[in-house]
Parts: sequence; C-alpha cells; structure tokens
Amino acid sequence: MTADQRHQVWRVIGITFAVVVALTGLAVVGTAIALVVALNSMGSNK
Amino acid sequence: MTISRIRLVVSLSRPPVLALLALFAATGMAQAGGGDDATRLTLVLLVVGSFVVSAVALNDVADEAIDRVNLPDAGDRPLVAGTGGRTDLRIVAAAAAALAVLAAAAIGPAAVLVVVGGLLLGVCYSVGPARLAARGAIASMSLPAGYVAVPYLLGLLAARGSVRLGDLPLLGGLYVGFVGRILLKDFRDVAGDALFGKRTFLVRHGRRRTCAASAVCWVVGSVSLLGVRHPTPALVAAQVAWVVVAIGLLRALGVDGGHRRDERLISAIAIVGRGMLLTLLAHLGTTAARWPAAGATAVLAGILLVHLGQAHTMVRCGPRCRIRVPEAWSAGGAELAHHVHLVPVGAVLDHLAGGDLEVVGEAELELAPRCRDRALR
Repeated sequence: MTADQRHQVWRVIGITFAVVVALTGLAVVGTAIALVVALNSMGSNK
Repeated sequence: MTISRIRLVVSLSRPPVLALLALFAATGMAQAGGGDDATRLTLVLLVVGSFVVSAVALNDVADEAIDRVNLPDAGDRPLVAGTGGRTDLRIVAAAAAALAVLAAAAIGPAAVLVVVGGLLLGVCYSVGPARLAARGAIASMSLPAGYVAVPYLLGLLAARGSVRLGDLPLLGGLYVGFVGRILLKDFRDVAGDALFGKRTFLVRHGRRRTCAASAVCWVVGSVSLLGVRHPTPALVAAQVAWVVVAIGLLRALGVDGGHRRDERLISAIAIVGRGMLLTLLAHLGTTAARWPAAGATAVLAGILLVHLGQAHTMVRCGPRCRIRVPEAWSAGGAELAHHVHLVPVGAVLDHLAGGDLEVVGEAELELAPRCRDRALR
C-alpha cells in the first residue's frame, strides 16, 4: 500500500466517524473532526 | 475580484492554520456553553479568518528573503511562488484587518479590543523595531498568543459576552500546550533562520533542549487543560495518552535523523496536538448535550484512534506527496519509475522529497513515496 493510500484509508475512516458524530447531534464537533482529519495528511507543523 | 486574487487570499489563509484557529474559537464557544450556535460560530470564523489573512500577509512580506531560502518551492508563499507582489499583500493585509474589526464589532466592543490587540501583535511579531519573530523564546511565547488567545477569547465573547476567571485555566493550558508545538516549527526553517540571524529558540539552544522544553510545555499544558468544564475520567485518560505519545515522538526528534525524518515527526506531533484539541471540544460538546458516559467515551476513543493512525502513517510515510509531472509521462508508469530513479540531479530529488508538488496522471501516485525514500537514502 502506498503512502497516499494509507493516508486515504485514515481519511475515509475519520470522515465516516465524523459524519456519525455529526448525525448523532454534535454537528460542530463532527464538522471539526472531519476538517481536521482531512487536513492532517498535509504535513502541517502547527 | 479575479480568480488569481481569490487564490491569493486562500493561500494567505493557510488552511491548516485557519482550521486550528477555528478549533480554538469553537472550544471557546463550547467552554462558554454556546458550542452549538452555528450563526455565532460563523461570525467568529469570519473574524478569525480575516485576522489570519492579515497577519499572514504581513508576515510573508517581512519574511520574503528568509522564505526564499527555507521554502523555495512553497506554493502557499505568494512572494516566493510569484503569485502575488508585495503591494498586493499589503493591500490584502489592510483590507482583511478592516474586515476583522468590522465583523468583531458585530460581536461586541470587547471582541473589537481582542482583534485590535491581535492585529497589533501581528504587526509587532513581523515588522518594525520590535520584530518579535527574531527574538528567540519571545517569538515562541508571543505567536501562540495570537493563535490561541484571540480565537478562544472571541469564542467566549460570542457565546457569552464576557470572560470569567474560570475560563482562564483552560486558556493557559491551550496556550502553554501550543507553545510546546510552535517551538518545533523552527526545525523546518533552521537553515534560513541561522543564515539571516533569526535567533529562534532552536538556533539558540539546539535540538535536545528544544525538544525538552517542548515536552515540559506538553505536560504543563495538558494538566492545565483539566480546567475545562466537568472533566471526566475518559478525558483525563485521553489527555494522558496524547501526552505519552507526544513525549515519545519528541524523544525521537531529539536525535538528529535528517531533515525528512524531522518533518515527519513534527507533523505527527502536530496531529497529536490537534487530536488533543478535538477531544477537548468533543468533551465539551457531549457534556453540554448531556450524553451518557459511554457515548462520550466512545467519541473520545474514536478521535484518539483516528489521530493515532494518522500520526503513525505520518511518521512512517511522511505527508501526502503531490508531484506534478508532464502529461506525456503518464503514458507508462513503470518506465517512468525507472527513469525517475536514475535521475541524479539533486534539485529534482529535493522536489520529490519535499512532497510539495502535485501528481497528475494515473500511474504516478505510487511513485512518489518510492522516489522520496530513494532521495532520502
């Protein structure tokens, strides 16, 4: 599995989890999780 | 506004930085009990976004020469990439500052004070005789004030209209924890910083002391985070897990294993930091919604699992590699791999190792890690 595929797997898991959290009533928390998970693979140092 | 101007503003917003500040703002709102007010949160994000664009534009102008050395291929540095001029950036900085103040006025006078203070800090950080960015530990102490205190206080003020004494321990924890992470950002820039006499903490004190100082900040910051409303055993356990992982990564970073390894470790530490912040936000959200302990614990565990997985992938593989190659190359992946591996030109390998170019075509995605690893050997 390539590096990009590994990142993609975790993105899919994380965003799916975020959607579940949002649908159970925590819209802001779910959105925040999705946003952060999507950006995590970019390699930001902050 | 043309597409290029929009791109300029988007690049100046530094999406990962903006997302981080949005998290601090959402945490402030949640701490004040208004975490689910989407309208107020949108207003706060408008203020925070404008504040970030203004501060970043100013910093890009001030650090142009250093960025040309440290980040010669950075697409998100308009002056280096040639996508914007100094005058463009100054105009954007002024317009964004004005928008930030106007939007803050809709929250209240205290929010205007916070934003004006943050903008002044941004000016002192980047330009003028003060130029805090060049002052070692002071830079590492002042930057988080803008990154953490401004959005957090705006969140509090938007949700409740006031700041209480009980909100300050959490602010202190967020601040100290972020100092621990911001100390590490200078690893990427150490060559240019030393060249231009920018006396960062890393330049002054070296690798091991910087990692040790960061570890202390992580521990102190995480303890202070327990100043959050209604801490639970699940939250405490999550905080302990984050700190243990962060210290393990810092210990690895204390040993010089090359620039690429540093980048991977620091990116992983940043992921852990963002995960810690998300667990805090989720704790506040589940507490406000009166979730049962099992449900709240499951959410925290999910965040922990996903972020540890992402951090592990980051350490092992590095960031996503976005390499752009000529369209004609996409015709044969295996042949391309053969040719790329044989290319001995250091500059090309640096591009590949940097992971900052964009992949096009179908066959090249799998090449990037292999090329990068070869470049590192």
